[in-house]
Amino acid sequence: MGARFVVEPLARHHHRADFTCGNERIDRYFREIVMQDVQRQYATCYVAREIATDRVAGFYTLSSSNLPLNEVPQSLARKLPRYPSVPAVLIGWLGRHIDFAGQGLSTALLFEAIRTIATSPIGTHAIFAEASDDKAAAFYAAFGFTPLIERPRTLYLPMATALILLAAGTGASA
Amino acid sequence: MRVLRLARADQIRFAEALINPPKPNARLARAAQRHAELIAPR
Repeated sequence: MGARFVVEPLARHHHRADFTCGNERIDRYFREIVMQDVQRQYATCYVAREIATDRVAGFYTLSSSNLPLNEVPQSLARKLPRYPSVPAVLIGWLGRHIDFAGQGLSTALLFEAIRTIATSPIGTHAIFAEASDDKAAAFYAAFGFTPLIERPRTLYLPMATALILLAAGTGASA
Repeated sequence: MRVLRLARADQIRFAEALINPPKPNARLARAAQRHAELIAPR
């Protein structure tokens, strides 16, 4: 296989200090904060490592979340798989090093995140993404994530939609 | 565990999406191909 990257859980040996994706908040988070979040189990972090060089080309984080649906009318609530709150997984951060731009690595990482969530033993009903800016929000929206009306930089994709995607099988082959 | 609080209108729209999930769009389907090209299988 000619794949250029491997995705693996963040570990100490991954070099984070020079990570540059073009968004300072994301860079600072990945350089300085992500390890603390992982250690206190607030988030899990996966990195895309370039196999030939061991460089970190991108990363994403996942956090378990809970969504109260306390203002949904009864007629709708009855049809929900879970009520009054629904478990979800949040893609809190996703970044790709600028040196690896133009190859679709962010896209590949988003799919990897979706697949990781979908195949996790933790039951979840939706994937949420927190976009760092409007451009990132447009990135998620292009893949069918729906922005919240009140907070358009937070977007979601129903788990059922992700499962249809994975059942199609394209990315799951070895 | 983080709590994601949604406004009423978003709760309703989200609940409707869970009940009637949209099909993956073409871009998302292509993301699977890009993933297969770039990332080594585990």
